[in-house]
Amino acid sequence: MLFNSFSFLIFLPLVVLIYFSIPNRYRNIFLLIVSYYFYACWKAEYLILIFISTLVGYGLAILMENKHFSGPARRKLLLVISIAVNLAILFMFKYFNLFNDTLRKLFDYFNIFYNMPDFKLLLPIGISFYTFQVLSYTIDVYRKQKQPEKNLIIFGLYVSFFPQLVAGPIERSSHLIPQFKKEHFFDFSRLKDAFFLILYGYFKKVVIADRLALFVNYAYNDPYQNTGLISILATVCFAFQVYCDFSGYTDIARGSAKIIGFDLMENFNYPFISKSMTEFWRRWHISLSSWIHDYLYSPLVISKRHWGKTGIIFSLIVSFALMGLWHGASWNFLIFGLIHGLIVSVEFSTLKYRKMIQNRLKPFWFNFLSVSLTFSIWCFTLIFFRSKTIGDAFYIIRHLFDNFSLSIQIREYRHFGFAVTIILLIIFELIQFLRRRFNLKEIIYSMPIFIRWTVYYAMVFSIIIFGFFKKIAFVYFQF
Amino acid sequence: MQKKDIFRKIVLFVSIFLILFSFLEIKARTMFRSRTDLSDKHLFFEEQRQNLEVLVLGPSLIDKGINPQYFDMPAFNLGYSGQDFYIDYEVLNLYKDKMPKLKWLVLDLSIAGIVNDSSVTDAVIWKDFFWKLHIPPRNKNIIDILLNTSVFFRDHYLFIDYFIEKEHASPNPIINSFYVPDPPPNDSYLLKSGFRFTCTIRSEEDLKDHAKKAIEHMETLKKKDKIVKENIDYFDKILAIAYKKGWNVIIVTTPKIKYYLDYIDVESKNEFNAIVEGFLKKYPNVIYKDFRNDPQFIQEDFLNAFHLNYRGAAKITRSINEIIKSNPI
Repeated sequence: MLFNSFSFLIFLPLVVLIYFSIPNRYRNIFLLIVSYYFYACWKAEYLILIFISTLVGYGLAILMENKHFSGPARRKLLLVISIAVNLAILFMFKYFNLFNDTLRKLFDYFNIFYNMPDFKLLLPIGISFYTFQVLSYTIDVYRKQKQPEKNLIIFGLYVSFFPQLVAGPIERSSHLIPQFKKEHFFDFSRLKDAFFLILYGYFKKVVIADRLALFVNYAYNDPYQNTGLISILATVCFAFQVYCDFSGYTDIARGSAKIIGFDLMENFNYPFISKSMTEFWRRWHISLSSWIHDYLYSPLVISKRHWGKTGIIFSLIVSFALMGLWHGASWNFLIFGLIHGLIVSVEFSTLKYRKMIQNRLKPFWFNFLSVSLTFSIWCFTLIFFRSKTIGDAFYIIRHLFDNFSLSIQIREYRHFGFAVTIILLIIFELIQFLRRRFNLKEIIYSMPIFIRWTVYYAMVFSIIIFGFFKKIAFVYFQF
Repeated sequence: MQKKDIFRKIVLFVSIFLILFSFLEIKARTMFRSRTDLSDKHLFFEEQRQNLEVLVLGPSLIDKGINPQYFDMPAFNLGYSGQDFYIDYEVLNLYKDKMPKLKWLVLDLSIAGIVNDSSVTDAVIWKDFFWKLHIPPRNKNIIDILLNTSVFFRDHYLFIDYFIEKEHASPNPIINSFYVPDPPPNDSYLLKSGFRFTCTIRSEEDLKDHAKKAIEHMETLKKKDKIVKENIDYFDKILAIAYKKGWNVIIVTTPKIKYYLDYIDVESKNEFNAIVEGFLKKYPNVIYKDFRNDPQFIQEDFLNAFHLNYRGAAKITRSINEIIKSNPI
């Protein structure tokens, strides 16, 4: 079920209504059933993968606390089994074909016969998200930072809680699990906050992201027909598309959870005002970057601490490369991650010089230049992220400044669609700017009901009038 | 806040929303009844249907490819871009008893038509034919059907054009005549016979390029066996109506450029031929004419890889007219 489908608009109020109507002791089991239903609406067969992941994560964590497995070697063995099973599922469903294809090309190059067929299976949506949640839980239990969860229903919910099941945020057990143990009461102020959050999420998704997607798809589906200006514009538009798409999803997820009393973590914190890529990754997809930091980067740095600065750079590059690959089974994503790893390493190595530049420039100019440079680098790396093949990406890069004519023929835009999209994007950025400066929510709440409701209706109808309702899946579903 | 108050507030909020939505729905229905090329086609058809002896149905291949001016009897081209067998069937079902003089039905049948997934067809363009019962795209669930009944919801994106231009954008100039002035001042017209007159002649390179893209697109559609079966079923239903009404049917496969035909694999061609054979065996009132490899069509007759321009349309219509003349009822 997509958040941007009409079914979800029926599903969510029903869930809320039933959730608060039933006794507290049945609420978790109810949430678990609706979460599985939510996933099964897409493909019921793939629920089995969630079950396996849940049972492995649950069972092995319980065993780690068992006195027979209390020795470090046995605990480590259990950890390795949990990681191996989860990553094996992820590998088979997500990365096997890439691996197989690369192997085939390699064997072809040496004229060796190789005929392992590809898996013709759909990528289970959300697999990277829930796998990472299970892994972080197991590692936390192994590190004794967390007691294993004894209640299978609660653990099942931690893995498959419907608002964040398919595209995050990647929650930590220490944050989410305790919330399933509390009794939640209906709170009107939470409903208001959630309504606001969900509306804003829909605005980002169907008004900004999906409208921009028309132009981005047009340009990236056949990059060989593009002028340089179209490629540049499409890449910049993609930066906003992917941001609005993913942060829109997160807002809807957070809003949906909020109504029933749950708080999911923030995933974005105005990433486009970042003054460096290092800062950018602290503001973009926070739940993933903090996961990578805690469970991959930090252990790597510790294990390579005798390498000194080189160890940190090595850890950065490896972490970013794997984070790139997390996004999808394509070498494009690996290149995307590697470039980020290199840039963050360069930033790390040149921190002293950048400080010197900062001291010499006026703050406005330093901020302006750093934000522009960071955004440009992000856009550049997105070429690899969005292109279908590495060949396409290099073609676009080679021809970025070739031709500066602009002629766009997109049926859905009709006469003024593109201009309207750009105007809406400017309005969105203005709202973002105001949100950073002022507490817009509180300002609206303090207004008389007449104005407040006018704002709500304006939001609802702007979504209906300007939204693009063709059920475009969220970009991050593919990860 | 008391539960009762919360409930009241929610009900009030939703009620105001519904009132505003209804207002916009009424506005949309009034607004989008303004003129479009399809509404004009509909109007032209309504004016002529009582006297029609030949009706032509099909997608853009027909819309741009058959010019009723070259038939010896009153004829109308009721094809339209994106019109699949499902829409053909709905249109025919709606008008089957309203064309008392009809004798011939000309239908398009092509490989692309058989694999076409019309559930993604922009059904909004058909509102002029099915105004009262807003036609939903097929194979959709109850929610989609409900949403389709709201013109405002479905056509919301047209509001923007409307408010800027104050009229519903029409893709082609419409000429309230059966003929286009010579030389034509524009590229494309909708004529009173329902024929979309297109003048464009493309270079060989452009045609090759278009053929390649068209085949690539078709390849993506081919895998959906369910769609193929449904399309064939709808075509069969059309033939069944014609048989019941005593109309003769000419199924035509319009000409395509050689590169396009070369790209199509033998298996698809054989499957297609088997489907045609099946229809011919089942319905004795059906004649099939395959124009795919007809040497009379040259590069200058094509608008692109598979659409004819006005020159090609004149040739194919004359040929169909000859078939009609040689098979008098």
